[in-house]
Amino acid sequence: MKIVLVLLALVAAAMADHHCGTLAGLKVKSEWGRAYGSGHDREAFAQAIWRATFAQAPESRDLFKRVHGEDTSHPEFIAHAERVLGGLDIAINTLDQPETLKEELDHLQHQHEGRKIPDNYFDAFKTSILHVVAAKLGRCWDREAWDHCIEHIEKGIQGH
Amino acid sequence: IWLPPAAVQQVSLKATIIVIMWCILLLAGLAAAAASDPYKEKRFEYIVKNQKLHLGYLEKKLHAIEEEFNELSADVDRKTIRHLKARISNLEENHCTDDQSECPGDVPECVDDLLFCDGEKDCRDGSDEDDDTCSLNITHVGSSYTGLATWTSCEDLPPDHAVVTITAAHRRDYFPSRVWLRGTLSYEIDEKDHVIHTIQLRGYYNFGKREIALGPLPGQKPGYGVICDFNLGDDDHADCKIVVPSSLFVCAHFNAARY
Repeated sequence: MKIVLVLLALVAAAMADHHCGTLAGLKVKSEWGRAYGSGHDREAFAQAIWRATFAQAPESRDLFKRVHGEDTSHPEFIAHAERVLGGLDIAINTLDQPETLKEELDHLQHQHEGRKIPDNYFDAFKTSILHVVAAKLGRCWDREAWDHCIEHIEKGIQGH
Repeated sequence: IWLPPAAVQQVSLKATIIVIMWCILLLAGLAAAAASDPYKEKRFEYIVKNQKLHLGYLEKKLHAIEEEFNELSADVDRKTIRHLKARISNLEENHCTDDQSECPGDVPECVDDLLFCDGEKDCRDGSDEDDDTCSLNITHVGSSYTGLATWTSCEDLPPDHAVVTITAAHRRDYFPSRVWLRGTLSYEIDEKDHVIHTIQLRGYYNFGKREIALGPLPGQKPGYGVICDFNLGDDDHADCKIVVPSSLFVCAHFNAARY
C-alpha cells in the first residue's frame, strides 16, 4: 500500500512537472489573484504586458488596428487590454474546474479563429505575462507552473 | 632818429628774430634743466613707493578679512543637502498606492512602477524616463553594500557586518522596467573565528521604488531575502533589511553604504 502511495506521489510529481496539473493550477490561480490587482494597478499591469508583447513582436500591432494598437495609451487600446485580461482572468480562475475552463477556452478560440495569429505571437504574449507577473509579485511565484498553465490556456485558444 | 621806412622794417625784423632766438635758447635751457633735475626723479619715486605701501596695506587688511572668513563654518557639500532633502521627502506624505511611485519631476504624480524606464513617457513631464531615474549605477555587477546588521529576530547574533553584493545583472530589452539580478548576502556568525554565512540570492531592481529586492534561488531552501531601499538621495546609500522571504518579516536591519 505504502509503495503504491509513493509511486502515485511520484507520478503526480512527474505530471505536475510537465503540464498544468491541479496543484500548479491552484498555485497560478492564487498568484494571479495577487498580480491582477485592481483599479489603476490593473490598468498598468495590462499596459506593461502589452508593451512587452509589442516590443517582442512589433509586427503584431497590425492585428490591433481596430483598437488603436499603434498607441497602447489610447483609451480604446486600454479597454482592449483590460478585456483581454478579463478573459485570462476567467480562464485562470477556472483552472480547477476543467469543464467550465473548456467552455471558456472554446469561446475564446471562437473569438480568435480567422484572425490568422501566428504561434510566435502567443509565445511573445506568454513571455510578457511571465516577466510582468514576476516583476509584480517580486517573490513567491512558481515560474514552471505559470509557464505550463498559460501554455495550456493558449493551446485552448489556438485550438491545437 | 629818422630812418627810411625800409630800414625801420629791417630793424623790427631783426628785433623779432632776436626775440625768437632768445625764446628758443630759453626753451632749450629749460629742457636741459628739466632732464637733469635729480629731485624730480626722487619725487616720482616717492609717489610710487607710497602707492606700493598703500597696496600692501590693503592686501594685509584683505588677508585679515579672509582669515576671519575662513574661521566661519564652511558651506555644506551638495551630498549632505541631497541626503537631507531625501530624508525630508521620505517623511512627507505621499499619496501613491503600494505599486506606484512618485514621478521624480516637479509635479507630484503617481505612476505604476511597472511603467518606469520602459521607454514610454508615463509621467506628464516624462521624468519616469530621465537618465537620473533610469541610472544603472546601483545594479553594476560587483556593487557591494555593507553595514552593521542588527538582528531583531530570526538569529541570536550580536550586531555585525552584513554585505550584499551584486554578482550578475540582466535587463531584457522587451521588458526594461526591471533589472534582473543575482547576488549574495554575507553575514558574520562568529566574531572570534570569523565564520561567515553566505547565501545566494536572485531578484530585481525596481527603478520606480529605487529598491533592490532579492530572494532565495529556486530549489534552494528558503533562507533569507534582502530588501534595500536607495531612498537616501544617492546611489551609494541604502536602507537594507534582511527578511524572511515568504512573509517579508524583518529579521535584521542595516544602513548600507557602497564600498
